[in-house]
Amino acid sequence: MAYNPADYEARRRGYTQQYGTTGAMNAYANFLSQQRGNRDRQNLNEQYDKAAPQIVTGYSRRGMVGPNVKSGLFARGLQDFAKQRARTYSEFDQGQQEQQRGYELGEAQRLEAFRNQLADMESEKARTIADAARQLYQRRVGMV
Amino acid sequence: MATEQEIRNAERRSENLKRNGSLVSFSPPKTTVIRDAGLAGYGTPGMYSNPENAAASFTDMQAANFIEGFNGVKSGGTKRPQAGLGGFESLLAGLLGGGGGGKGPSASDALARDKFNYEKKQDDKKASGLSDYYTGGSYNTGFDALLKMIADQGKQSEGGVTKAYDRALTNIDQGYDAASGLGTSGFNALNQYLQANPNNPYASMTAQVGSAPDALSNYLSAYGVSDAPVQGQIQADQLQAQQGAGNFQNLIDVLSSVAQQGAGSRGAESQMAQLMFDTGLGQERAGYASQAENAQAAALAQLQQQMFESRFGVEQNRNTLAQQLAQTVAELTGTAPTNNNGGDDDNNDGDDDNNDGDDDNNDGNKNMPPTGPLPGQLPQTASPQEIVANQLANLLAPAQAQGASAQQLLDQLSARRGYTPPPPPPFISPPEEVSPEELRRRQIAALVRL
Repeated sequence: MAYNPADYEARRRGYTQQYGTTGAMNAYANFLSQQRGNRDRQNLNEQYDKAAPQIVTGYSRRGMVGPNVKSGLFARGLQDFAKQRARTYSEFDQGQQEQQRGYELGEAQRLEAFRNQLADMESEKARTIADAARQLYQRRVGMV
Repeated sequence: MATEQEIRNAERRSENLKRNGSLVSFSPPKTTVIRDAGLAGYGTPGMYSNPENAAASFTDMQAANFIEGFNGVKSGGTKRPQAGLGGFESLLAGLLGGGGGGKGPSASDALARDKFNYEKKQDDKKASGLSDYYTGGSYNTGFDALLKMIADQGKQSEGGVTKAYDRALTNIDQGYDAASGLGTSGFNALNQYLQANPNNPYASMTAQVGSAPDALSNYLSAYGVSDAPVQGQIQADQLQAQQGAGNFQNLIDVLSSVAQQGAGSRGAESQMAQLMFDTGLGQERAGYASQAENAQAAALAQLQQQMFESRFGVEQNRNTLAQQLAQTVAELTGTAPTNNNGGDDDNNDGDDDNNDGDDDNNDGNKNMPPTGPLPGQLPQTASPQEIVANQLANLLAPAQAQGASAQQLLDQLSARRGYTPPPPPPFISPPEEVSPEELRRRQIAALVRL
């Protein structure tokens, strides 16, 4: 097998282009996902910011909140609201983070595969060079 | 040896002289003068008892003068002492080396004598030349030159084979260095790439836990409500998030470890491939070097075989020629010649062909010639004294052969003319050992008495 550096450079360009194109698409998808997550989180903020006064107002109509009035039901209802809000934010953030980990893991695996391709190609090139060297040696000695 | 053409030419000239009337026809003599001739050594008892001595004393000129004197006797058809005396005078003149008086020979006899002398001289020259050519070893010159040519060509071919082997080894080594350098550069590039690009993208990853949400503590405290339950909820959610992050970190660590093992395996693969390449290349070089050595050995063996065959052929031709020469000289002279100069050490290369630093005569002196027989040389079994004696005998061989040739020519000439020479006298006394000078002195004394 004759050694032709152009073949390996072409393969290298192909691998790199494929890796770069796929990476760009994945990065853009990841960007869009993050943008969408940010918007969703802002919506959550708005919703909880609007909901908090309404909860106080509701307990106030029923006379559970007011000057010199401390109702156990109001305190518990307000704590449940805060806990639900914290749970929602935690789940949302964890979901976003897991999505980001998945993206990063995928990119790492894709990078590993890309580097394996290049390393395999380099190994093949080295073996091809060695075979070519032996063939050249045989030709030279055979021409003696 | 006279050829048939020369004999026919002589007879033709004789016939022409007869037609011109200048030649007296020959008729066999009524009487003979053998006794008279014997005084000159021809008919002496010693001659018949010892033909060699007689042949040695009876030279060609004497034989010719004998014929001349004999013609003087037969020309009259009867016994004529004066004519016979003319023959004796001629014979005496021949013995003394001077001219004889009396009646001169006829033209036919003079022509026959000249022809006889010419042919005998040619035979003598040929025999002497062949003997010198053989005993002097001149015939070895061409063979020695051929052997030298073979030896020189052999050395040149051997040098060529050696150069080709060295050139092959140089190419093998240079090719090995080039191939090894090329392959090593390829593996070095791979190792550099692997070191510069460690394939562990999980190494930099850490599982982080998100920030805790607001507990609305200020809002709750404004209405006099404790936020403790909310903080407990938040801590529980945070703990759950931390557990999830820990699981993810474990996953990352496992993937990172797998990636590291893969990178290590790839590095080991590169080293093993490079080791295999170096080992295989070294084995190939050893194989090529072995092939070159085998090819060199085969070429040298073939060269030696060819040189041996060539030298064998030359020596065979030399031996054949030597045998033919020895046989021819022996036939002409009646004596087996001895070859004292059988060439050199058969290849003229200046060495003794066995690389022992010796000249093969074991005398410690390289300037002395070898004593044993060499290829192409006849076995030397005679002592130096015998060699000198043989050389002297070879020098005297043409003169000894003249007696037989003269006798044969006389018989042939007489037969053509219808003359039958009388048989030799019976044995009178045993041969006497006399020197040629003494014999000549006795012959002159006998003639003076007559």
